[in-house]
Amino acid sequence: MKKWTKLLVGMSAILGTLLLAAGCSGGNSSSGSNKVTVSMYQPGDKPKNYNEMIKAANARIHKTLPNVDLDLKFIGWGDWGKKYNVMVTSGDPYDISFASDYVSNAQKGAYADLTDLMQKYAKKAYDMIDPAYIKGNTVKGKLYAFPVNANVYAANVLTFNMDLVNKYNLDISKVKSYADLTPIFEKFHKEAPNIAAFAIGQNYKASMKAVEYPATNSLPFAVYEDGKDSKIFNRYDSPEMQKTLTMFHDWYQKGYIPRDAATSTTGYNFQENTWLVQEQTQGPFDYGDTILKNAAGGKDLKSMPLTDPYKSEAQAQMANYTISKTSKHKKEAMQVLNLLNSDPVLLNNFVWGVKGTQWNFTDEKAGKIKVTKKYAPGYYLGAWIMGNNRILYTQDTVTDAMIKTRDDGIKNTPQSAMLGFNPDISSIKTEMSNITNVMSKYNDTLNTGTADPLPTIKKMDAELKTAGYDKVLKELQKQYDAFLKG
Amino acid sequence: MAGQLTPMTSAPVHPQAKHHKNTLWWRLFKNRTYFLFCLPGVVFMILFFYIPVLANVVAFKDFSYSEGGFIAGLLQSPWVGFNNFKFFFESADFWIVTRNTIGYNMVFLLLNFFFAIFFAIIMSQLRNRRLLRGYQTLMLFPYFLSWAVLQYFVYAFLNPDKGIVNQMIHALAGGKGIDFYNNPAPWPFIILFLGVWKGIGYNSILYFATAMGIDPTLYEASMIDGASKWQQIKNVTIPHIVPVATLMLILNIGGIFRSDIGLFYVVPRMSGPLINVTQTFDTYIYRALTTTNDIGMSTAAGLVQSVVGAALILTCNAIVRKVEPKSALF
Amino acid sequence: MAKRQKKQLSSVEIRSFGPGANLFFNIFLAIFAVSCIFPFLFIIVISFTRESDLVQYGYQLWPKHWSFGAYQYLQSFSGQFLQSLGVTIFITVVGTCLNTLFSATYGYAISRKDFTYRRFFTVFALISLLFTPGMVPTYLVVTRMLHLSDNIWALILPGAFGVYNVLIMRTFYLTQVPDSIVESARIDGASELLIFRKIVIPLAIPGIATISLFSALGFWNDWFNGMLYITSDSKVPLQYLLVRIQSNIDILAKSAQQSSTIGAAVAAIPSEGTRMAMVVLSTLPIALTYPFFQKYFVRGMTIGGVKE
Repeated sequence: MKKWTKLLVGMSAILGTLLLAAGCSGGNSSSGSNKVTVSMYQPGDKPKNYNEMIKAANARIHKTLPNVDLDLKFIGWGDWGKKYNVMVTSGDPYDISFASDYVSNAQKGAYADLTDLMQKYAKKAYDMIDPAYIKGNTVKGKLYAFPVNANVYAANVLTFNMDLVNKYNLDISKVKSYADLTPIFEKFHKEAPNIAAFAIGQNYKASMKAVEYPATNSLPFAVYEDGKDSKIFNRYDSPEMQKTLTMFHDWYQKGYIPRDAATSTTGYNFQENTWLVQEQTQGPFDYGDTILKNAAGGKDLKSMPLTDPYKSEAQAQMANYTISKTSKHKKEAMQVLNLLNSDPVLLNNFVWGVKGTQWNFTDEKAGKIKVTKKYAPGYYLGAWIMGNNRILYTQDTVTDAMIKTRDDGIKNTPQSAMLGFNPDISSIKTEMSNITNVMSKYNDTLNTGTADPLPTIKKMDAELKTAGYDKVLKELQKQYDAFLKG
Repeated sequence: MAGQLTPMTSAPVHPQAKHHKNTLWWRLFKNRTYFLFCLPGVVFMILFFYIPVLANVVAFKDFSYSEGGFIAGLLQSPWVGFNNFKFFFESADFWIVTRNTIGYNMVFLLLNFFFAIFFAIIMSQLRNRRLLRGYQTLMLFPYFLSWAVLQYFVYAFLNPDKGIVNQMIHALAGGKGIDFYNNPAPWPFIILFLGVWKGIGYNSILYFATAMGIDPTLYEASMIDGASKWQQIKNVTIPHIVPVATLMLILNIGGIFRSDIGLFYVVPRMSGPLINVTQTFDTYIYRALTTTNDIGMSTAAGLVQSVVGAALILTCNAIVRKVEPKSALF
Repeated sequence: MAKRQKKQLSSVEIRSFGPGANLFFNIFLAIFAVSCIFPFLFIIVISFTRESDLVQYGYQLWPKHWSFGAYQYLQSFSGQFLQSLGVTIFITVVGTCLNTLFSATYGYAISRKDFTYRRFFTVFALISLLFTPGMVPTYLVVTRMLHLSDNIWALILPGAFGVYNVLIMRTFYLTQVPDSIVESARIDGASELLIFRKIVIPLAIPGIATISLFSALGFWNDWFNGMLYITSDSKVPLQYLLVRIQSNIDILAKSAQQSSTIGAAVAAIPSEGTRMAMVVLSTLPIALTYPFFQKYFVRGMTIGGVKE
């Protein structure tokens, strides 16, 4: 008994001292020298070889910026949204961070204005960025983001599991749309009823040929990317979508879509033969199915086109880096971003891992490399999130022809009509919240074919109307018209 | 009574007490040990409650950021009155959400009380202590399994075609089985059952500890009077549990407008067709604010819950004070 | 010795059912307890099921193929796992001691009728139950005022006191510590601190055991503070480590369906099995400490014992 009491008294003494010490210590940031550490937050797991990576990176940075150190901070994907939100709202003085909710945060003034900063300290990197990125990230005439130059355009594709295609002798050569899948599924399902023909699950959204979403894809608003029609419309009311969903419902009833699709969150692993078709997004830097096959550990996959490629708003905002308004090292942060996006040695050290360990040059001049056995998940960072994909080395399996296709694609793909449209929803927040709520009732059952689409859409539209759909549509349309004019 | 007793007994120790008795300093000095006892708690509450709670004013503001950080942003943002509250009160789902939230919580309150106390009493009366320890340990397991994990378990039973329940229906009766996640009817029972089942182990601990803390001589006395087991429970155990139960009632009623997102959102797997029976205030807020992500609106929602809870706690306490002044909180 | 045993036996018997009722309720409780452990056993089975079976056949009580894949995957985290286990044990032990001490003293003060300001301090504590401080301002207090970001104390201090526990203790003192004992000790000239330590605490042991169990469970299960405040791997508590691994798998699996570039990292993680394996590993240690606490629920001393 006595010992226990003593322990408690001791503990409280420790706590008191600690609180006092914490309260008094204050800021201990200034440590004499004028060395600056730039903190850079991004979602994901810390790579296992982080120490080697960052050592090499800082050595490289010191060649141009002798007084700047880079410190990468990783926050797991699962916590990213919440933690980032707290960081931004509390005004944390982070230097660089990957951005979520870029537009609304920019509108509320969370980020430093980079329009001039970028010209001044990152001209070299800025010039390499596709103009679509700049246009897509301009909010109220100002640029708050340093976009990662990567898949500036993308299209959804239908990816087939070739093991099963060959096994059941399916003809996939003519697939251009969802409708072309029906005969394939019919044959496949008869022979392999236990394997998911169309492997979709909760959160899946049926695609339209060429539309973009002014809010998010979980809300019904859509516009055509070709710009021939500038009306914002409810995509579930469009004949194209209704035809697709009616077909999905038919598939669902016949068992081509798993019966638990609307509630299932199980991922279909590429490597296993538990699925026949999945829907994927691909862009120029995927080099066809090359990246996909890498991800699948060399499994044979084949993708057929589904939607039209456009340089879209969604692609432009895929990976943005922002500098906090409260950062104390805005200039240095911008200089680091410049290097990351213009210095191949620095960037490739992250994206491919450490030179000599994860990879070796096969042709240094052409930037061709071969990865070693030590190149494995957890030993490199994603290309799409790290920096300018233009300056990445490529594996020796990527041919010159493939690179030419990539560059031609980037040159020739049109911009979406909506590119650069970042609506200000502050006046319709209330209605947006209520619409979001209505959609949460219908999104999954509609898009997975679980619900009979026509009556369900009718019911949904009635609910949307009471939630303030018309007001939101009117406001979005007004802003969109103004955007198209300006 | 006791309050008057103390100064009298301390009088001989402090001869001048009468002199100083009424001065503030004397009162403060007399209570010094109690102040010391309260000090850590007070410091804690100031740091982790009274300072941060002030930021709730953001519910009445249109928050925007500032170079000076959060507090500067808060001060600079314009007042918008009750704008941030509108989205809930104007929603078409207002009545359903309110009905579900309060309805479920009332039933939970009753069931949890009944089962927790029932289990606590039988456990306190069991003869074999070792067996009892085993039961209690096992009963605590569900408490550790988060809803995110338990929902897999529930899904394993209720999955439309691979689920155990439906596989059994297939085997026994044939046919298509029940598509649970598209069929709202059974869900109120599923939710109530799961909620009560998961909490029994944890909820009964407090009452069990209370029952075990009862002075055994009281039972002895009651036995000498020839009371039966049931009479002992009625006359000794339950009266001792009542104060704790009252406390829990007052505290829990404050949470009447709160609900566990895990139970109401994760367990039904966010299924749309079930929304009319699974939507509560918290899930509503969670769903509604995913696109806007507005701190003003989420704080406003929290304030609504707090105000409703506060009003109920005050009412409940007032009633308790009338009926049984000893059990009232203040 | 023999006499003491007999006395203990009789004190146990006093509170017990007759043999018939005892058997009946034993069976009843056993069935219920089995229903409580059942999901856990099921989870263990899932953690040994081959991943492709889960996708194809759903969860089965007896899988078609057994697999150690999940545990093999987790083995690559074993160093981190032990480190995190250490962190969690540290914060649970220290945090529980602090919470119990502070809550027990505060509760005692507001339970005493001779404490002039007890109403003020009761209401002061109650107000904090009525309203919730936001996450963002709390974050600011911890990181800016106390400078505790990435500090292990950021996991302990926010839980170092609990108003619920205070009120539970207050009720225990009111019902189980008779005024007369405290008064008589005071007449004997004992100081307040001494009375608290020597008389009040022993009588309130069941209450103290209860609130320390509650706060231990709270500290053990907390991952949210870990998420908000901890960045370096060496200070990540166990639950947060699990939530992190788990939600990363989730998100990656989800994004893999949307973008092959993000999906590149997923490769072949046995996600469901791993999740279940982690639940098994994180639940067992704390659940098995329950008997330790339960021991103290039985009142150590009768009131008569103190008087003598």
